[in-house]
Amino acid sequence: MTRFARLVRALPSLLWLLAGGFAVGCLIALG
Amino acid sequence: MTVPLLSRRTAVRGALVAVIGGIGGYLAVRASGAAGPSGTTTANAYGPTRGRTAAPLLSLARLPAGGVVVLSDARIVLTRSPAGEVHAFSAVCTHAGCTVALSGRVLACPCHGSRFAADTGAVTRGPATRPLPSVRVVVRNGQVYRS
Repeated sequence: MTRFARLVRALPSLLWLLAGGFAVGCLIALG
Repeated sequence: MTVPLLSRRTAVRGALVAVIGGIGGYLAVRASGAAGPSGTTTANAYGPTRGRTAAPLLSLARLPAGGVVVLSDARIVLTRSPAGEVHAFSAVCTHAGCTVALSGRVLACPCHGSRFAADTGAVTRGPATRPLPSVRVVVRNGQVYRS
């Protein structure tokens, strides 16, 4: 499997992590 | 040799992505202004105490009896009772620090929809729970000053 294919396969979970982090960041900023 | 379920590289990459997302979310909320001013600016939201040489907030002629004026720069609401007494309170919403605006006879917060009575500063609708704090003002020579 190429490096690019591995990245594409991991993309959904990375996006979930990004969204989760975004939500936590928003909550921290809102206090 | 078995392939680990979560390699170190994957875990590090995931943590990095989550942290980047967190920073992005934090900055996005800060930039949108929804979080309101930070602690230091809240303390200064009513401005420094000024001496007698301070500029007047408003000419009394622009505040008729029973009228309400929101000074968005000074973040102060000036009201005048039908009897002619001038009262003032902060225009900083006690919920998240946004500046309230006059909407009919009530002061409405544009951020989360809190409502305050324009004549008393009392909360008429949440999410704010505390009334707008009063600000001491004096009237001299037909001008309203912060005292």
